[in-house]
Amino acid sequence: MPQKLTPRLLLASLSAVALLSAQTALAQDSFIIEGMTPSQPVAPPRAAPAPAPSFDRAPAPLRSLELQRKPVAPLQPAPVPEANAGTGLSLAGSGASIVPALRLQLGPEGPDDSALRYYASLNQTARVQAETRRLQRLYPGWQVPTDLYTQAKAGGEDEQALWDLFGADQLDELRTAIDQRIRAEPGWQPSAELSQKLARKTVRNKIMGLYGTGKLQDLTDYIKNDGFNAEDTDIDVLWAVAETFAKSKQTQDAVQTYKSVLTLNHESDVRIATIQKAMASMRMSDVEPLIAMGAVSTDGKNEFAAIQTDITRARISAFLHDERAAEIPAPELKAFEDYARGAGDPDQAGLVAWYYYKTKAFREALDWFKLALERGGDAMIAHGLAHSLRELGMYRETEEVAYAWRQPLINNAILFIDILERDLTKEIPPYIEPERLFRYAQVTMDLASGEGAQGLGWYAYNSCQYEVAHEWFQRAAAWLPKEATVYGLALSARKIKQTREFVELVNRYDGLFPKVVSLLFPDRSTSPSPCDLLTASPKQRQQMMSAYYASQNGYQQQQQLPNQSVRPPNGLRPSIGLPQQAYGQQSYQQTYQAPQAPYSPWAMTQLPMPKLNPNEFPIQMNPENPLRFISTGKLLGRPMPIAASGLATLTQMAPEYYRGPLPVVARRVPGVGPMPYERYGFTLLAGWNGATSASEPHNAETAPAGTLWTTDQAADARSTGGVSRSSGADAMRQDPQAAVAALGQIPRVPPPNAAMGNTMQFMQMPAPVQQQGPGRQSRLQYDRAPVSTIETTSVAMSSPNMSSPNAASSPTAKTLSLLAFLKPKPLSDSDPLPSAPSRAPLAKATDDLGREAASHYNDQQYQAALDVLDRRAETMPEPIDLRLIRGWALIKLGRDGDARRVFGSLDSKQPLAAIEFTARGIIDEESP
Amino acid sequence: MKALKAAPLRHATKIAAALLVCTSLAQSQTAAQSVAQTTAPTAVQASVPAGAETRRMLTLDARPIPLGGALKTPQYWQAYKARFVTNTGRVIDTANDLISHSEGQGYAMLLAVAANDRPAFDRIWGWTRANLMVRDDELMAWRWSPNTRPGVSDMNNASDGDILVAWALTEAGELWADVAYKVAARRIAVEVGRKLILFKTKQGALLLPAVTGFAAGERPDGPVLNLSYYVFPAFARLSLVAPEFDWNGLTQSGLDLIKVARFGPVNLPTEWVSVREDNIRPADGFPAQFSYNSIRIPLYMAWAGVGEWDNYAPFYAWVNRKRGVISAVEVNSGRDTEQLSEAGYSSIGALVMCTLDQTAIPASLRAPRDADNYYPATLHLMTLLAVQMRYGSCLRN
Repeated sequence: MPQKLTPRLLLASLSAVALLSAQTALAQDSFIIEGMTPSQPVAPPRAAPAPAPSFDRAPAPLRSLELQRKPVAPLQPAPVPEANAGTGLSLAGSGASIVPALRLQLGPEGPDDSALRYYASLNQTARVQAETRRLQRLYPGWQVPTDLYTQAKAGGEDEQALWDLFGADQLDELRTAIDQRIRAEPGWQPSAELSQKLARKTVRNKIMGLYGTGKLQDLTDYIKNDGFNAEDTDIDVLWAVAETFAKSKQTQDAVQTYKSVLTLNHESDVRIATIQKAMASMRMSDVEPLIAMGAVSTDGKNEFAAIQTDITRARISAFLHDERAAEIPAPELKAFEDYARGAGDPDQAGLVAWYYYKTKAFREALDWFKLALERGGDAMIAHGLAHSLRELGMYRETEEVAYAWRQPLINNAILFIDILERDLTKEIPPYIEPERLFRYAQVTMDLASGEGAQGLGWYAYNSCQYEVAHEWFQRAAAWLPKEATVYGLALSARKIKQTREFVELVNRYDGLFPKVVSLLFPDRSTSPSPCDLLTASPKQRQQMMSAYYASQNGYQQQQQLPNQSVRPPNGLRPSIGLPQQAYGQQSYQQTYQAPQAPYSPWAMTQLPMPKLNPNEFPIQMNPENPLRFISTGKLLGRPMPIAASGLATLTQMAPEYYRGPLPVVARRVPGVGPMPYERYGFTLLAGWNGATSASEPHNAETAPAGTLWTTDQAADARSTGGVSRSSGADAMRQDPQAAVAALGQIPRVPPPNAAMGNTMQFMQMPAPVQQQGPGRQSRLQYDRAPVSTIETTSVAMSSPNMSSPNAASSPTAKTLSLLAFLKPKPLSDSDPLPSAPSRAPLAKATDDLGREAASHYNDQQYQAALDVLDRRAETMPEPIDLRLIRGWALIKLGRDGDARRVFGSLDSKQPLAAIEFTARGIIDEESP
Repeated sequence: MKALKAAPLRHATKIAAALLVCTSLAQSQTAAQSVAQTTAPTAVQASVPAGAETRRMLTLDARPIPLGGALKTPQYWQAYKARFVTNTGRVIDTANDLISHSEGQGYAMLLAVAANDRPAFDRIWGWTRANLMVRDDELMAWRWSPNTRPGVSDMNNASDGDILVAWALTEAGELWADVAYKVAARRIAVEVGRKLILFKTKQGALLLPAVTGFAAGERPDGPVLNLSYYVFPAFARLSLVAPEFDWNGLTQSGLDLIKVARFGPVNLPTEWVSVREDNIRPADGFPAQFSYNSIRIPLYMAWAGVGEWDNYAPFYAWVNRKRGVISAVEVNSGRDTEQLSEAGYSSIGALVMCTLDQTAIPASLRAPRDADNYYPATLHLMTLLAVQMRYGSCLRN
């Protein structure tokens, strides 16, 4: 079969099958149109060569009519039978004799379009179009008759009563009346006009009925199967149909329907309304072709310019939802910005703000969020504002905004906890005002936040407040016992001489947290902590530091000898000092096993195996962590006793079924690195999955490809510029005096009990009216520690008055007053950069690397100076004079943007190369 | 000397920011687009054989229903609790070496919320966070055993456990108006969305079973999924705390995957499937079975009220094959491997029949059996909860 015939045959089969289903439909509706009855029975096609999606009903009369034709092979369907088979058959001929690309001449009467008119009368658009195409192929010069749908036949006398029924919209009665009349008066037919109008109205009522009741599936089935003429219905029906397609995700059909509306209608109101409806029901990417159909008038104005705002809004929304990759063109955006600025609605400004945020234009985003807030924006706007501030490096302001808005939206509370945690967990704790600490403690306790508790724990520990640190670490270990937290708890317990607790921790987490166990197996001598130095006399300090430096030098020598194989200190046996009975009945493997890989570079040190106390390690330990703390303040923060079921409503629970012996040998846990004692030759039991060797620690796991985590990690790598995580580490080596002195300034961290008190009342319940005098506001009744002055201040600061945005203490007012005095640290592009000198003045108290950087600068080797500074920043904080050198070097190299950043952050306390957002695994490997 | 460096801003917070643009006010303009936003399914061909049940129209009500207090028979929860939950809040898998896992903790937390049992919920959540949240992120280590050192047996997480716990915390936050639960729920949900969902694949959004070991770079047949980790009722509710993620899209792509994961003469999915490129097939190295894990697929679908006839058809056929006798199936041959005789498994069969035919739940299955092991007892209680929530007519005589 020639290739070119296939489309024609497809159409042929389509029309034929269509005709047959039309016939059955015809039979069902008992609906006869005068003059349209086919005079000959139609011949059915054989199996259609290609699937016809709309017509999946097997026409019933098929079999009875098969005898009419010679059976043909399945791939050669019978020639197209026309509705009035007479003349049509002569044209089509038999299958084998159809000449491809037949171009027939128009006869005097024109081609036989009775099929066309037949379909038109039944309002079956698809068949009309198929038949139209067929006729156009056969008769290239033929045009579709214009009176296809309006042709009305004569007849229909005396139909006034019927018309009255029609006008009264009583279609069922009308049909009944017609039937009765046909039966009563044989030969009478209703007029074509009445029939057409009745058909149209029936379809319309059906469609709108289904649409109104939301039966989308039924509606789409009806439209597809029962014939629907897009050219002959009202606009609102078409809109309903299109929306139905859109809602049932048949997007192409929806787009086609909308396109047909636009093609057939030329009133601007209708067209504009169509675009608006399309935008409401479909994705913007599907609506763009419709918008492109808009006519451009002679003065260059698009006809849809009237709704340009709506279009831009929809485009921005699509961009925000990742449905549109391209950014909005600048003039269009500018027009929308003007509109948003004028509109009193915060949402419009918010939309612009989020757009800028997503395109990483954080300065503009900040301005627009501020504008939206002024117009009455809600907590989500404030959240965007806080994140814009964070991206601009203004963490203090971020914290204030997040705190002010922590109640309406928990995202803000989470941001508040996380933003200050950075500063809290710094090795050299920066100064944080006591009020800030106190409110942070309050929010931590309200949210039972393990992240916040460990932040406060580290802050307290690093500033030598060991008791408070211990309390906070307890809560953190009850709520989020990750390795760093349990490590901090163990350190604190040891410092305050809670030996029992310390021993419990090390044994409980043996095999899980190498860092915790390494407290018993130190791998190198530790530098004296600033806290030790703080309480020591100057002579003692001197002794401590020199001892440390001596050990470091010894280590340095070690490092000079590469490729030295590891020898255990005592040959093949593990160190002395481990009596056999410490391990119960089990015997350790006494043969030496070389460590599979040095688990840290420091494994090369030859520290001997420490002497272990058999009553302390390893001992049997219940693996359950018994710490529990409650958040709401009802129990005053005391640990909840586990054994007693103190709550009356707690019904009977199961006993702990396992009573058996507890092991003293750890076993492998997939996702945990090697334990410190493995370097002395000990091994662990096999894990639950049979693993016998240590695996990659889980905090070195790679992000699975395709997750959002991968983009985070990539962004982190870019932002850190590859600088290592241990910035600001060894300030001790730098300036012990200054570090120790700074510690004395750190305020007292409030203990958890003092911070009980609910600042996070459930947001939907209104806060109780504050009745007391100014400056002192009561809260809901709780058992609380006595109010101190700090608390009073913080209470005043943290008033949860949400009554109106105009109240002086409302979050909106607080945020706006904060922003009013805001000077963003990064210099704007218009501010002039300072001029870089040709020689850098030598900084005092600078170390070798600093002097090297300065000499590079003086030799005009600016890139080399930057490299040295970067290298130095990996381990030390950058004092101001070196930072100036960095900035000048950047200016000399022409990197103005970076230079601005440097000069804009001169007064910030953190090192410039500080890592803001690093990946996990931040535990310092250098010192325990 | 303190060992802790400047801590990073939690990524969850950052990513929440990056994604929050999606929950911005733009949504107010495009309410109707929520339907159109679900990603279109891939071009993977569904293999519905010729002998399948006649295709029917199935209209289920997929409205999210709050879970709090939805269990109308709290005495079942009391019995369950007395068998399986200790007073420290540990949920004991009595048939599995007495271990605990994040999935079991999550199930118990859900049931506690459904039974409005706050003290028990606090106990269970307290144990969960004190013993399983040992990772450096907000996900939970999945396995814990009482007779080993340390208790945690595996630092890897299990996505369904994390999702269940996040869902339970969301519901608890709603029911008892406690913002601490909501914050915890949000942190876990955002971490799941960030680390475990592969957005923008050809098949739509995919849920990885764990952070380690199942991604495309880690296995030759990766990514490998477990279709029973798609907890559909949870997805509908997690949008309360983490609306920036497209949970509806995840539901839709999960349903599409279930439609095409049809293997062998029984047209059932295997427990572990590989979705490398467009070719979904049973994963290497795992037994190609439809068994304990996958039996939860129809449970979750019916519980959420999602899915079309095509989604349920193979499960319907599987339930009806031997008139009430449910067995695990070896998928390639279609052979029954092991009869799942306990009432809890049969109750899922009854739920399928109820969902599709409105068949009443048999009287023998209307209460959990004391003799059932931990896992079928849990399934039974959840099935009854689903029926009470969404198919109450199946409980009327």
